[in-house]
Amino acid sequence: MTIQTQCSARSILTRLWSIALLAVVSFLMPATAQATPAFARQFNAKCSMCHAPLPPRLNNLGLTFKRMGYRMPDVDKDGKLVLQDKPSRSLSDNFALIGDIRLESSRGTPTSLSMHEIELVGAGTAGAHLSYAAEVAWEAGEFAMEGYEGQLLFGQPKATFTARFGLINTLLWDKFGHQRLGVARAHLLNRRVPVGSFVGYRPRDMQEGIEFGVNLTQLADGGAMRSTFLSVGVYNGLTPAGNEFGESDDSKDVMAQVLHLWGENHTLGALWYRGKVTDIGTAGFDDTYNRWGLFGNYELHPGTDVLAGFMAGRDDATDDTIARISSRSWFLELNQTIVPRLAAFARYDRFEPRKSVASARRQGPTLGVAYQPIDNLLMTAEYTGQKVGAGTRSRDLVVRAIVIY
Amino acid sequence: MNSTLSLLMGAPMLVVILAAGLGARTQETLDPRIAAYDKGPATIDVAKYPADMKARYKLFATRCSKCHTIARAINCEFVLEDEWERYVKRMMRKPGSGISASDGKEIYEFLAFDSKTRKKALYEKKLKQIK
Repeated sequence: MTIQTQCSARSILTRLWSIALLAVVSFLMPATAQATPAFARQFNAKCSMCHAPLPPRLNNLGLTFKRMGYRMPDVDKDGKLVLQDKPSRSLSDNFALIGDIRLESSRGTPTSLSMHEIELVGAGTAGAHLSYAAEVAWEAGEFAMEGYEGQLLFGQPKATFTARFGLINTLLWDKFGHQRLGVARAHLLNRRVPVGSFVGYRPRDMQEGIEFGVNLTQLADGGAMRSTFLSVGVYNGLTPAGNEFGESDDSKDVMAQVLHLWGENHTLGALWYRGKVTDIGTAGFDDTYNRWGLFGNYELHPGTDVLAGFMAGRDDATDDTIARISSRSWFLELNQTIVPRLAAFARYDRFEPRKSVASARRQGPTLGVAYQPIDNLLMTAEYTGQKVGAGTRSRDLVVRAIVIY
Repeated sequence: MNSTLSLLMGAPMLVVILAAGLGARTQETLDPRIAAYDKGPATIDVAKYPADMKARYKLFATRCSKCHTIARAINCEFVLEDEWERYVKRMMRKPGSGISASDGKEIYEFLAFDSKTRKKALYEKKLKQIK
């Protein structure tokens, strides 16, 4: 759902006014500070308890809360770690509505203002061992179930065993997937390497499958936690619909991950992925893809966070006429809280497939600011300048307003 | 779908959904006493406080507003040293609070000083009660 016009100063001003009007309407909504997302409502907590520097990016408490099936780590009167469950009074209490409005301007294309999507996002617990999450989106005039999952959790808070299943986000280090600060995702999660007829794998896709995990958590000084999450998952390898070649058949992928969290916000993780997709056409050959990656972030001092990631890939086919393609990608990002509720981010991204597909090489900076004037409203402005292959540098500007209730 | 029509339909739909949501949601009930603290002043005038206390106020305002309103700590009825010691230690143990032992000591020092200054009457009243 997009309105496109010629890129004139007047039209941009009109659209900025629309977003400003929306911001004012949101500001006037009679919501209390705790009354925005579903979890903040349930736990009577501020967004900053689980998000840093701003929502939706999670801090270590938020990552642990999510990993524990939406149960909040807490301490009992003896100082022992417990998982606090706050059952909601009704299912609707566990869901939040999110409206995403964007003003987008790219070199060579008309400026557009669009209602990018409206999402209904929710999660919660159903008893001591079961939790669930679901995400329904209305985008481009259509409804889609973007994700659904169930999770079983057993054991003591300091050592839990989990089984997560459904259409799930496979990444434990979710700082650049759903929980990214700006609009642009890091290339190492978002770029595909096409091999033969296979459009290629990208780590950020939601996948159907099941993941088994072991989570070790202990309390440290100053209310900090040290957690280590280990997981192995088996997935369908592609989006639920497969791709345009019907390559979702006979695809069984394996992913192993480890993520260590310490302090309020430091993380270090690694992943290994191996996938195979069988071409069901006349040729009958297999495409395989492998990835391994390292990623993490370190808060230099409160409000200054450095994030980095590296991923290497090897994509191949049993068809001798198709050459193996190695690839590597990395990013480095700096987040700086300027004042409470206002943060800036700067990232350099590079995605580098082998020379034979040099046209797919991408590199460039992303610069942006994120502002949360009230709990119900998140605004971002972001510039991305990417050089693709030997071509000219693209310049994209996105101003986004997210209304949350 | 016609894009203009779609936007015209989509924007009111968002407003209606949000408005309906406002009525439908229930928030976890807060103790009325705590709700009243939350609605009180959210800053302390530290202009006349010693320099070290001004620095401690900054730490207190940063650390103690991460999970709940800072107004809750400012307006609550804890004033005695024992009360603050117990409360700060409890917050320090909360996972993710990020209040280290040294931060906790600084915050405690500030709260004890502030109570004796800003809530002097209540401090003396409570002190008499326990003597």
